[in-house]
Order: sequence, then C-alpha cells, then structure tokens
Amino acid sequence: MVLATHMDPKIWSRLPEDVLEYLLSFLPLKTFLKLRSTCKHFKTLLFSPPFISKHSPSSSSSSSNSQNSSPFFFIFTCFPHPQFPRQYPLFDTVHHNWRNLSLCVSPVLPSSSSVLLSSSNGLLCFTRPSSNSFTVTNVLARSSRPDFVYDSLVHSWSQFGGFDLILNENHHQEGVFHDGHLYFITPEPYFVVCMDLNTGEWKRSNFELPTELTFARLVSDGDKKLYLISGNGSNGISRSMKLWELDGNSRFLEGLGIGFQNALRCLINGAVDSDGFLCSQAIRLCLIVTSIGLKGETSVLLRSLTDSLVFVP
Amino acid sequence: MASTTETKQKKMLILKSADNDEFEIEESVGVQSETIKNLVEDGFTFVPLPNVYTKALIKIIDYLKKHANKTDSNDEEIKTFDKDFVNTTFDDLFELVSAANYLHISCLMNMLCQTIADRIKDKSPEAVRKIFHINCDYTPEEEAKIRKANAQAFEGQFDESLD
Repeated sequence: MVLATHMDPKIWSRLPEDVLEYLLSFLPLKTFLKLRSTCKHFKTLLFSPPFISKHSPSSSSSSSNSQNSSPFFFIFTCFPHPQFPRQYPLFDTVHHNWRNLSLCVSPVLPSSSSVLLSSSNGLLCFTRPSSNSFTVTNVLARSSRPDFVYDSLVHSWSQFGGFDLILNENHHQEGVFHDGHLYFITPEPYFVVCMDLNTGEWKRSNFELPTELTFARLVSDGDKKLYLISGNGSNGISRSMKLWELDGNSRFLEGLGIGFQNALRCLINGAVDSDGFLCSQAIRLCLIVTSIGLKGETSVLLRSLTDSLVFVP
Repeated sequence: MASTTETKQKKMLILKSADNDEFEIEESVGVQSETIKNLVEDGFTFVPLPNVYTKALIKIIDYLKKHANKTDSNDEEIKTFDKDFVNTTFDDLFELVSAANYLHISCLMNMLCQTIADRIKDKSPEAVRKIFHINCDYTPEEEAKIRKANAQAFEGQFDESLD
C-alpha cells in the first residue's frame, strides 16, 4: 500500500472534530471496525468513551462500582439519544460525572414508544402510550411493576385504572408533585392537567396560564407552591422568560435574569428540534435542567431560583 | 396564540455569507436554525455568518424555505426535495454538514450525516481516506498488523469508488 502523500488534510480543519465524531457515530459498528485501519485518528475514536458506550450493549454495570458511595442519585435524561433509543445517559451527583446506562428493558417495555417520565434513586417511571399507564422499573434489579404507583405513606402499591388520554403521546415532561396531585403541562395548546394520587382521577386544572407562551415548564417547591417557568413571545420565538406562581390566578413573580435566560434558552432550543427534553426537578425550588445537545454533548444546569447560576459541564 | 401574529407584517432577516453576499429571508424561515433564532431573540435582524460560504448558504436557504412550508399534504414533495438535496459530491456534503452544524439545524444535520454514513459504509479504508482527505498515518507494518487482526471484518467486497 502506497502512502498517500499529496493529500492535504484540509478536511480536518473544516470539519470540527466533534462533527466528525458525530458523523461517524451514524456508521454501523461493523463498518466502523473495518474503517479503523483508515488512520490512527479513526482508531482512537473507536476506543473513545463515547463510542464504546454508544456501541456496547453491555456497558450497564458501570453504576455498580459506585454503589458503596451511597447515597447516589441519578438524574436520568427524559429522552435518550435518537440513534440509541435504549441508552440513557445519567448523571452521578456523587462523582459529578456522566455515565451511560443501556437498559435491557425491552421485555419490560413492550412498546418502543415508552417514554421515560421521571426517575428517582434508580427507579425509572415510564409511560406506556398504548395503554395510558405507568411502569416503574428498578434498573439495578431489572424488575418492574407495571401500572402501579407506590404510596410511600402506607407502603403499598396501588393500581390505578386506565388513564384518560389527556397527555398526548409526545409528552416528554415529567410530572410535578404538588398538594397530593401529580401535575403535568400539555404541549400546545398549553393547559395544566393533574392526577389525584389518592383516587387516580385525572382532571384539567383551572389554573389560568399567561398568554403568548413559547414554552412552559412546571416546577414545585415540594408541597406548598407550584411555579411555572415560561417563555413569552410569538411564533415560537421567546422574547423573554418569566417565573409565575400558580394559584387560582397565575401571578407574575419575576423576569428571569439574562444569564439564566440564555442558558435556559440554549437548553430548550436544543431540546425542541432534536426531540430532546428538558427535565426540571424541584428541590427547594432549585431547578435542575439537563440537556443533550445536537452533537450528543450533555450539560447540566443547576440553579436555585434565588442563587446565582451554576453550570456543571 | 396564533391569532395576533397573522395580522403582523412578515418580519425579514438579512443573512450575510462568508464571501459577503447578502440574502433576505423571512424570520419564520430563518429561525429553524437555532443559531439564527438565538440572534433573533436577542433582537438582531442582520446576521453575519462568517463560517458559511455563499454556495452552501444558497442550498441551506432553499432547504429552510422548503421545510418551513411543511404541511401534511406535501410530505412526498419534501422527501423528493431532500433526496435531491443530498445527491451531491462528498465535498459539498462536508461543506453542508459544517454549515448545518454551525447554524444548528439538527434535522438537516442528521439527514446529512446519515447520508454520508450510508455512502461510506461499504467503502474500503483507502477510499474513505481519499473521501475525507486523510493521510494514512500507519506504517505499512502497523497497517498489515491491524488488517490481520481484522481479517474477519475485511471479508467481503469493498467499494473503491469515490462518489
């Protein structure tokens, strides 16, 4: 084989490395193996952590070695990488790093359209669009309890009947717990629905939402108050972002700071087109926003609504 | 919420390519690009794009216009358009990937990457080197070794063509 000598590697300067990496991740693994003799760089890519975790079906045990450092919490993204629908990136808050978990949930989740709604301490809650029900899965034990909701007050699982088709199938946002109800906000046209955790009944809440919303996310401070973070504008272009308190009539609290707005906007923008997600979780009104960007990069934003902005890369 | 917007005059944006050509497009067309959308949200109507050359920008504006008018009925038309759009040389595709990445148009980005991946997946390492303009940095001994280790994967026929 004669080495190519006249070729200017100009493509490397034009195609940023992360773009090339993203592009190559579209190749089937077998092809990629064949191509590792292309050049050393390709070979290095093959053994880079993102590739191994993307292509390895059995890389799920990465969490086990951190078990002794309990408590460890995971923030699961609400939507996996579009190319690898069974890969759930997770953030280990003890070690402050990302891990990839590939879930063997196919026997548990009959439909590939099951959507991860929420997660807590290793338990995942999926919705099953076909039957409008929830499935709770323990990823470590690989077990699942379909159609049940666990009541931690009486320590029992209760089964709820069929859920009304209030939330449509594209719903990616997790529910927010407030005052004995699990609240969701629908995609456009926006309105708030909630499920009574005692009776399992769904109803549409009578919160009046601000008009001209471009996106809307619910946040709760645990039990007392329910907040709405909204983008305001028209044509899907957010001109400003605001924080509202939801009670009988929604009350405007504050316009969000520019720094926070920009960060949130990037995350949301990234989320909308790539079918990504934005998950918010309220811990004393601390907002955690996680995002997978266009090229699979992840970012986490932690922000207490009163403190300054914290980014975890 | 759409009711108030229809009465408003169409907002226009000016995009300026790396080779200083200016293009006027509707805001609603431009904001399919996250990069442009962010600038619009910050109040800009004149958008310089120092990383995107005219040739690529013309194609991308075509794409955005087509996809801005997506309805239920013109699905087939858009599919045909997309197929034509990616039917070009590798160098053009790389140029477009670069631009789509800079402009953050993820649907276009994914379509282009998928196209390139599909087109190189049966190529030989030699062909891929030429397509990507990569120098082989293995010594002949190293390459022989990796080929041997890879013997199984190298079974079958490679496509040596460069298109």
